[in-house]
Amino acid sequence: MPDPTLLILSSLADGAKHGYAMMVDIAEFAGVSLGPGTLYGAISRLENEGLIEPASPTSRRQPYRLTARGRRHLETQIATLATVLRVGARRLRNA
Amino acid sequence: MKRVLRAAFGLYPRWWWRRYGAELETLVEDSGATWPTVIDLVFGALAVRVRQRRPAEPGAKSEPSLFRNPSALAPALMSFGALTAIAVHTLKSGIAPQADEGTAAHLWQLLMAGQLPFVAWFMVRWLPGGGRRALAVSAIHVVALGAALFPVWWFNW
Repeated sequence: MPDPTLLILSSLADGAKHGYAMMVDIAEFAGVSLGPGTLYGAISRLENEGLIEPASPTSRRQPYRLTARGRRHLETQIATLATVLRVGARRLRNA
Repeated sequence: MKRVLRAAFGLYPRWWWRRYGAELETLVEDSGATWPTVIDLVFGALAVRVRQRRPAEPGAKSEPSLFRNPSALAPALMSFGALTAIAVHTLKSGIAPQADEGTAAHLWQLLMAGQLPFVAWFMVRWLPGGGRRALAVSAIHVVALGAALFPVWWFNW
């Protein structure tokens, strides 16, 4: 399973979402079903690291959004993954 | 199911639950409570306990030193003991290598080898999520280990 923190950062890249919206979004774009314990464990880690922050609450649900540092972190992670994918695909073709 | 969920929620550290508990309960209500949810919550709680530290609150007293943990203190003391064994041996017998290994050499070996499990455990337990404090303690372990190894290498014992 991909790193839940990366999935959450990717989910928040197009705007703030609360926990359930993240779960649905991640299931749609990554085909990964994150449980509430896994999701909130990752959310608390990301908040402690300053990569996401709470946005204004809507009803009882607490949305989160990327911080500037979180956006830079996601860009770096995606660039690294893109390199890995490119190299892996090229090596598979040449094998 | 409600009782089982409450038991799973009870596994989370209190500081964590105060901050995220209400949100997590709402999420479980939204997504539906099933047995896989309960298992995920149990593993989630264990992961929080192992990987996350309570963040310092503004104005709160500083966190207690990591050296209160045996896995942090023991390696430093053992390196110091090994260094002391070398110093005492050098003062008594000089720096010439001995034909057979004496008490000081055996003590040094025991202290050096004996601290490795503590160092490894500290790294596994405290480095992930332990921040700079844990990193500083690990650095102290490495420096102390190096200091105790240095005379043996320098005098070619």
